[in-house]
Amino acid sequence: MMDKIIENAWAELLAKATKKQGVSPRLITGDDIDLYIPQSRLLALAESNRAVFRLIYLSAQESARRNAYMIVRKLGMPSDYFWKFELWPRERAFTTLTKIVHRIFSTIMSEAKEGRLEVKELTIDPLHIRIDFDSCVECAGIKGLQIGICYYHAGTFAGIIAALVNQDNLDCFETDCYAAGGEHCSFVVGDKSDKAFVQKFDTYIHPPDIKIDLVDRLTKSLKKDSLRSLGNMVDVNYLRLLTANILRDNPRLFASTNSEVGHRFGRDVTKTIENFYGVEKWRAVQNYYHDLCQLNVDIKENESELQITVRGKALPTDSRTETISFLLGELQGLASGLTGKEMALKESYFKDDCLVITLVPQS
Amino acid sequence: MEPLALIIGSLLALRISFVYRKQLKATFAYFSAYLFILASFLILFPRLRTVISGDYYVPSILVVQVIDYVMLALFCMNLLRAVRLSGLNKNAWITFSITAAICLFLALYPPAVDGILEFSLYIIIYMAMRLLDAALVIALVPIIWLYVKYLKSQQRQSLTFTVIIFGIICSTVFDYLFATIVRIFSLAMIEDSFFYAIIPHTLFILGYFVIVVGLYAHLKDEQWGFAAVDIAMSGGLELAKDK
Repeated sequence: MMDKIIENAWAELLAKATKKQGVSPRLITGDDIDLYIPQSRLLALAESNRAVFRLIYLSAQESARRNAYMIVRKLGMPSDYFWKFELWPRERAFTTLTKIVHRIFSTIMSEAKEGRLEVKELTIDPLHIRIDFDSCVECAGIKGLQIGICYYHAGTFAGIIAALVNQDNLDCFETDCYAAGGEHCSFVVGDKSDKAFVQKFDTYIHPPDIKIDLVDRLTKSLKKDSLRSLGNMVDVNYLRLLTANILRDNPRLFASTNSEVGHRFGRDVTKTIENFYGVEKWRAVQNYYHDLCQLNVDIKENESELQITVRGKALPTDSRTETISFLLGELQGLASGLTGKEMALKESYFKDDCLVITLVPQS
Repeated sequence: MEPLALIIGSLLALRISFVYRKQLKATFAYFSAYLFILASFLILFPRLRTVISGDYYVPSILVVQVIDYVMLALFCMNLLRAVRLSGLNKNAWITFSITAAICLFLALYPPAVDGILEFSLYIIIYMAMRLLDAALVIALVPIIWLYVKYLKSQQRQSLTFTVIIFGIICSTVFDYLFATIVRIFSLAMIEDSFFYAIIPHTLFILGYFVIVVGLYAHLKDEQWGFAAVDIAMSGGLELAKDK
């Protein structure tokens, strides 16, 4: 199921890049959300469990590999285009790979405002490909970390290159990250048979615990600080890809974790949202979701329960509860923080393209 | 026509050898040499008949033929190294054995029936040529087998390279069949028939033409592929899902 969501998101991104509109009824110009939304979802989860980085890397690698392969077939690229890539001279390999990556995947990622992808260097024996990713959506606006945090894109690049050159034994790690003080993010895709590469990759894929000030990061987005040259928005399909990749391996387990993390996160940001907007508490929540998520939130409060109706482009297209688990947790956290009572989820369901949530005070 | 097709093929193979490294570079370089020697053989030897005296003419043909087959063998060896396959299974050995038996029978039986086997230089050279032809077909069997195994094992095969291999197999098999027909039936019987003139030449040209088309497509594959991608990315083509 998650694979289908990922496939649809890739297909929509490709359709946008090839200027074909109308693949999905939701696909209209301006399908953008603030990049804080995907960042907060992934980083809040990674803070609670550092294994999430490894999970998202592996999931992104596998799904990117399959979808990149399908995309190049759809575009009419011959299946033997990179036949025996390991036996190509360096110059030819670099020129041809750069051309294809730039024409297809850089276009898709620029169009989705994920970042600017560029192949910078290539060696054949052993295979090393250096990729620069400017204005990276995964880490823009985050600073002061000791390590790179763009695991989704590391996995995605490994998958894309593996699909193109038809090699299973490729991995990718980040050598430079904006969040760790770099000017842009840099990645190296390499061959697993190279011991030096494997050693660096092993260190990368087992990161230490991280602590990111997501409240400070939220303030930047609320203030509309300019975070990168591509702007502060990103295509909603990026959020779908990220969410589906997190849930891909074990949807139930990660939906439950997502909900818990979202709840904690919602509580953490309550004060910031309330103070920033300085309006009535539910109005502040409405503004927050409208400004950052392009979601219209309607809240009705009575003595016994809180009914929240959500509509907008950032809702999942498949109406599955797993994919909204973080949002459900976040709303519970916000409601708990704002009412001063611990709120629990009574029910949630989709009705006419809207998500209806009922929260009740926890007994 | 045949030498022209071979020379074009040789030049294309040489050009392709520069777009690869290591085993594939060697594969196409040896293939280029094989085609060039074959073309030179077809052009020069009929004209050299008057220059080279009778005693040396047949041995010199044999020497050139051996060199040419060595080039083909080196092509095959490097190809198998490039696709990283070795080792035949039981079915392959059975096919290989049956082919070897048939080829050796066709090479040795007609001369034995004709009663021409005797210890003379001419007969030794004559038999050596027949055995070389047979050996070529026998050697091609495991190579074809391994290449087919490679095609099945890979998610993505090179269509153009498969066309080249197909052309080589066609031209070699046509050559062998023609040689066999000529040697089974007496020359007088078939000299004026289609079997001696039009059909073999047409088949040779067809085989060489397939090789040339395969080589040309292999060389242009990258350019054509990128053009297709470029058009599709510009919105000029319907994507496969939309069709």
